Amino acid sequence: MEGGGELRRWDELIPDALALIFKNLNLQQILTVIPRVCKSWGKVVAGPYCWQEIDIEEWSLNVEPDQLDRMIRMLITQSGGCFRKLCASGIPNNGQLISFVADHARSLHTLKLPRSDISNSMVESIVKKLSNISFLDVSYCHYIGAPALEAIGNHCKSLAVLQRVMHPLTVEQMVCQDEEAHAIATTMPKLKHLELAYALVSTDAVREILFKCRQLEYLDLRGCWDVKLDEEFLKEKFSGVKVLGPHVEDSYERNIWEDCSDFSDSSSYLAWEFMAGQVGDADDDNDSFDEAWDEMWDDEQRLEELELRFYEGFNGPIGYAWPQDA
Amino acid sequence: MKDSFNPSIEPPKKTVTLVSSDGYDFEVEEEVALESQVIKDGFEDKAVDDREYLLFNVHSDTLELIIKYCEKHVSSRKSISAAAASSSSSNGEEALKEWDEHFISVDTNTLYDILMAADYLNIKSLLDLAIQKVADTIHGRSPEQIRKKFNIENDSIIDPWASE
Repeated sequence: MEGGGELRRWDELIPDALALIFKNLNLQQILTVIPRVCKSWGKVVAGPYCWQEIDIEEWSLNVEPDQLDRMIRMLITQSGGCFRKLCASGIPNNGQLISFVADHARSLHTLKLPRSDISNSMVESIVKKLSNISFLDVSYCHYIGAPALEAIGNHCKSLAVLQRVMHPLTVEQMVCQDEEAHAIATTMPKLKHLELAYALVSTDAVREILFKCRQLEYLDLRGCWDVKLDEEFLKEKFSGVKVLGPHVEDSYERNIWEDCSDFSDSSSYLAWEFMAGQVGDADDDNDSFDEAWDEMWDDEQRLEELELRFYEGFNGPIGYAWPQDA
Repeated sequence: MKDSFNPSIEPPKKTVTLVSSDGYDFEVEEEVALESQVIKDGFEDKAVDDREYLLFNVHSDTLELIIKYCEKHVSSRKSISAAAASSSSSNGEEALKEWDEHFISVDTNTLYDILMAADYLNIKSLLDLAIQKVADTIHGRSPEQIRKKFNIENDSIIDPWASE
């Protein structure tokens, strides 16, 4: 394989391998730069491989609801309904987008929708389709409460991680969340990791969670100022639970994700192979792939529309300008 | 130079022999070879005097690098845990990260070979390192620059932004 540079075909790495590489790039690079490098890289972006994990949380912070709607629909369609993870901020309250997500969620196990305007009734109507979820983030979602959490607990039986963090500055307008805590305690017995930072909960509500969620390993109560837990009590009865807070210590912030990574079953090891010399076979295998490709990228208008959207979205720092050739 | 990797440090340790695709033998310590998940799987079932692995997909140039990486990681792990045991402060992990950074700073051909070898031998940390390096190399470049860097042919996609 070595000794001949012509054999090192970066364009012929299998899609899984390329997707693994592209995953480390930002959304703009994946959608607007990579497809222009060569056809095979473009096919990977147009196909399902890149979109097993759809993480557009950062991008979605600065876009209009209809842009977010189009982007999520497009990426889910590209994933072929195989996406296992979706992270997006600010899902609008019209119910259509969240229904679309749920209708395609058969492989979904990680759902992060912070700052979304979804309501209790929306959650109740779609939650049956989210039964495989093990990781859920509904932080800063102000329109849901105990009914939504109860529905989630009743249907998502393998839920291990729940993030329900509230914003410190909006807590004052919030209603008491003890009912939410009760819903968590009574319907989510398999929780291992629970984040309730800045939630308006009482000591009793937290004690109920501790007593009923016996698999809990991590409980974030930072900023839950009403909670008073005796350290001796925790040590004696719940030595297996790492409890943070209520006092806020910044140094924990950056570790939250590392702590969570154990719950993801993604594996970056793949058996790689070459497509070289098997072009015929590859074509047979990739019919649906090609169709998706044709649909998505051969239509110049759609491509331009897509880029236009990006420029609308990225009107901030100069770093987002189109990279110029040297 | 390539003939063997003779561990001259006494006491003698158990070794295995790795044979590169171009026929060179590399004798390495068992624990170094076990960094490869592929070698580790089924290692115990193999007879002790038959611990020789023919690596048909790994050229000697690449194998030398891979062994260097594995040896470094085995020895670093030891010194890090030794430092932790004696509760003395250590910047071992930081230093290893720096070493990795330097190790993977290679031309794209070598990077490709390391990537393929790390995958073939299933050395996850090295695979992750190589993948991150490829992504970093792509980052911030235009399609034309990426093609040039990775020696990829422009297969007729029209690039209106290319300044030819």
